[in-house]
Amino acid sequence: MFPVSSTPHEAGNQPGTYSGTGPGQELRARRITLSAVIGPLAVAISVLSLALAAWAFVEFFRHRAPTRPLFQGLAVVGVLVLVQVVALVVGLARGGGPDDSGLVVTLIGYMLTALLLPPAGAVLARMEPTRWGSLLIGSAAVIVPVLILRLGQIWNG
Amino acid sequence: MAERNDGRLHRGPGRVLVAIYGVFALAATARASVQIATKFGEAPLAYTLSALAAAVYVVATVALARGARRLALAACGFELLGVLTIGTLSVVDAAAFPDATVWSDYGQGYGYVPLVLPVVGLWWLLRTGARDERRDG
Repeated sequence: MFPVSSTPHEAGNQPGTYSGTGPGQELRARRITLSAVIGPLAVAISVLSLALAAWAFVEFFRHRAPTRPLFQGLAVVGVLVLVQVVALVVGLARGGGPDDSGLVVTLIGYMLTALLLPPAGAVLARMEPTRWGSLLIGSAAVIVPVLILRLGQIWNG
Repeated sequence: MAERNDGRLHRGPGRVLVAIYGVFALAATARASVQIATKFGEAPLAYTLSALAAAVYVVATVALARGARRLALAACGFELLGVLTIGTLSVVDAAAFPDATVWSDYGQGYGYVPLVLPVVGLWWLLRTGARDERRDG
């Protein structure tokens, strides 16, 4: 679906994108890394999750308990997050990601949080068959893109 | 009023509060742990405050989830105080806070949720408390 290569050398075809020290060149190198391990899928997850959140908030304002499709939407987001986390783990195993060990620990923490969030949101929403259950799904769906964004930032150091 | 389990506290809006407090408890604890484990010497004050904020979030989450009203009030009140104090200090004396905590710049790095959360928490606690006095149900 998208190329999983962990170093900018593999992904970049313009010479000098990685060795450059200027801010513009650094940015370009970062973008190449970004598209490699955390890119199109991350964007797709974020867009889908935000759309789900908007839908859940509409249900909340209409005083409606979470419906089955809302739960299914959250499940889809959860599965896509799992795929993204697997891609990141593969990237890490290939030697990609941040050099700083503290950042690697942080990255793993964010990966676990991102994995846990959709199921935890679903369980809590199940326990709350009122409009507040819809708000719970909406909240989880808003936080997922934030975690994905942070994953991307940490991945690129 | 003695500490007792208040069933209403964690239902409805309360459950959303518990969920968001839980996320912040996790985020703040993880952040403080990494900061203290890897670079405590760089900014001892900021990282100690990070750990304190994390502890308060954990207490608030557990207190709200278990319906411990007084403890939840204390935790939310402390948080509001913390975010206002640290927020102001981090703006006035940025040099003292070389690295961010959840409460720096009034929680700007977290979409100001750390500022809004204790206010909503206090509102919810007072609202359910007031209902408690008027009519038991």
